[in-house]
Amino acid sequence: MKILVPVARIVDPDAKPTVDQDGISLRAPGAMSVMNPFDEVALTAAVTLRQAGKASEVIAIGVGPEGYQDTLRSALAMQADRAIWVKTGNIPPLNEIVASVAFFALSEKTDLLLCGKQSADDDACCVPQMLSGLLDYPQIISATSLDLVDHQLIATADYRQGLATQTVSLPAVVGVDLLLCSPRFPSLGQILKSKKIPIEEYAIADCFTMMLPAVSIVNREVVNENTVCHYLDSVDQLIDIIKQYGS
Amino acid sequence: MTACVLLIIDENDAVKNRASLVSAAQRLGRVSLFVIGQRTDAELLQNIDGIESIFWLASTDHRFSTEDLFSTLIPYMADADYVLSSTEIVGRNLLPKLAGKFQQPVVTNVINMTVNDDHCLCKRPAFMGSIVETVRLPKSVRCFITLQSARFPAANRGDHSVPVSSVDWLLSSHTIQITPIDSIEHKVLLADADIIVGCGLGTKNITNVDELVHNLHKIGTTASGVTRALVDHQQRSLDTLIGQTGKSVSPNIYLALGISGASQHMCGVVNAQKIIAINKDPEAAIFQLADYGLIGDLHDIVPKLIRRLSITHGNL
Repeated sequence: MKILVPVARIVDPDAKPTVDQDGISLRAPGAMSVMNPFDEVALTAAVTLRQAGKASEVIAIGVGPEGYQDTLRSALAMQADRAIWVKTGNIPPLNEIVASVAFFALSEKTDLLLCGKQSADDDACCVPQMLSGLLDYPQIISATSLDLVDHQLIATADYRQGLATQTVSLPAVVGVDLLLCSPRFPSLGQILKSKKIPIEEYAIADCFTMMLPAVSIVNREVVNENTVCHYLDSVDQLIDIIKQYGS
Repeated sequence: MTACVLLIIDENDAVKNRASLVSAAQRLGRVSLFVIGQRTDAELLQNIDGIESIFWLASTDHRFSTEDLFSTLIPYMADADYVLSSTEIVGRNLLPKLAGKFQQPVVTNVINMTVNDDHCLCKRPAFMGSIVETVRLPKSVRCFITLQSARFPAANRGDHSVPVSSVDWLLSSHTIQITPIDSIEHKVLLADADIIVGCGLGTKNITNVDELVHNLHKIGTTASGVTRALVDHQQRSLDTLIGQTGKSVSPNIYLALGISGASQHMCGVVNAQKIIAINKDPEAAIFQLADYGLIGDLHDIVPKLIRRLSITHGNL
């Protein structure tokens, strides 16, 4: 039972980045690049399943440029067994990330893809669904609890306008919510131990052969919210406002 | 040649915003609708201008999964140059899956679109709304786009009526056993509420929020939503969570009770017409984002509000 966990390296989402003069590069002076918090939860959940004897191996995979080795090193310190780095020149478009992860899901014969349900920078909420479409695996999105019983995956997740317990056979793709568990951060011992594990490097060109359509971000701009708050003095005033705009 | 647009509308999409989805789709080409819901959900869209055909998939047949929707929709992909939906759960879970299958691009949470000769530009928020990205999509490939419907004007209605053709389910070979945890049948959906009462950590010990919601119904349909902090304290379940990891809403009024104003939450309410904040902390960030503010203790204000509402409206 192998689990593959895609990890993204993002600008610290709390840093409120601005946009450079080129109108596209993000600038966040002094801000760290961090592992996407949703992926930290997915990785922690995967390691927990292995520690419970329900999985044999947890493989972290990162698809991106120079710097990703640091994020994958963190993944090893968080007790992933192996780390795969698909090296790219720039930050790749989603389709290329998904194609690379799917390539390793097949070549490594993984049974479960445990993903963060979204990345805290672009909030695209796409990767687990795209993986499930490409691999033709069933998907469970926004899981807040998770267990493996007899090669069946049981999760609590979004269903229509509510929540449902969902059971599915492996292989499958799960997108996890932050509520699933608290990320466990590594001890000094684990950090030192992880440094001995080599990161397996691949070039993105070796991972898929299909020509993927070129989608690109051509511009970014900072949103300026200049709302002027009108302060109210009483509940009566408040009710007048609610009546004026409410229906 | 005009592009073919397949627009997926689900019964959980806000009724008030469905014509807006159609107007957004019309920017890209000729529109066919694929409606998931009751027959009336499809019939209510028959007289919108610019629709070529309406397919209707009955939602009541069985407890379906995204896998079943995926299988059922695959045959409809052949003719579509664009596949669109709202950002509600059906589109959010289905469109990227279709995009993944066909190795084609997907852009989510789009707030504006412009179409040129050889490409389409989509604007979408990132970093919890602090940055807007423009994404360029080539016209030569099929694109999947989810839209924040409240950001588009409504399409016009005429006196014509496009026929509705019923579609049969094509069930997936992947079986997902689904057991709903609580019934939502009688709740006012967040998507359709005129007024949403937003509950932050400050409402942890406020016991009469439900009574307030009930009384606000006299002014407009009212639902309540929560912030992450309240879900984390296990006061409320995840299905009413508003914000980055939950739902985006577009009510006439968002009444924020005891909400500090963290961007993780506020990015889910940017499409509210008016934000009214009640908070005892005058320094709370919410007052920089609200249209109206009342500084004070919820323990005093909520009972006063309830009393006033019951007096001024009587028993309507």
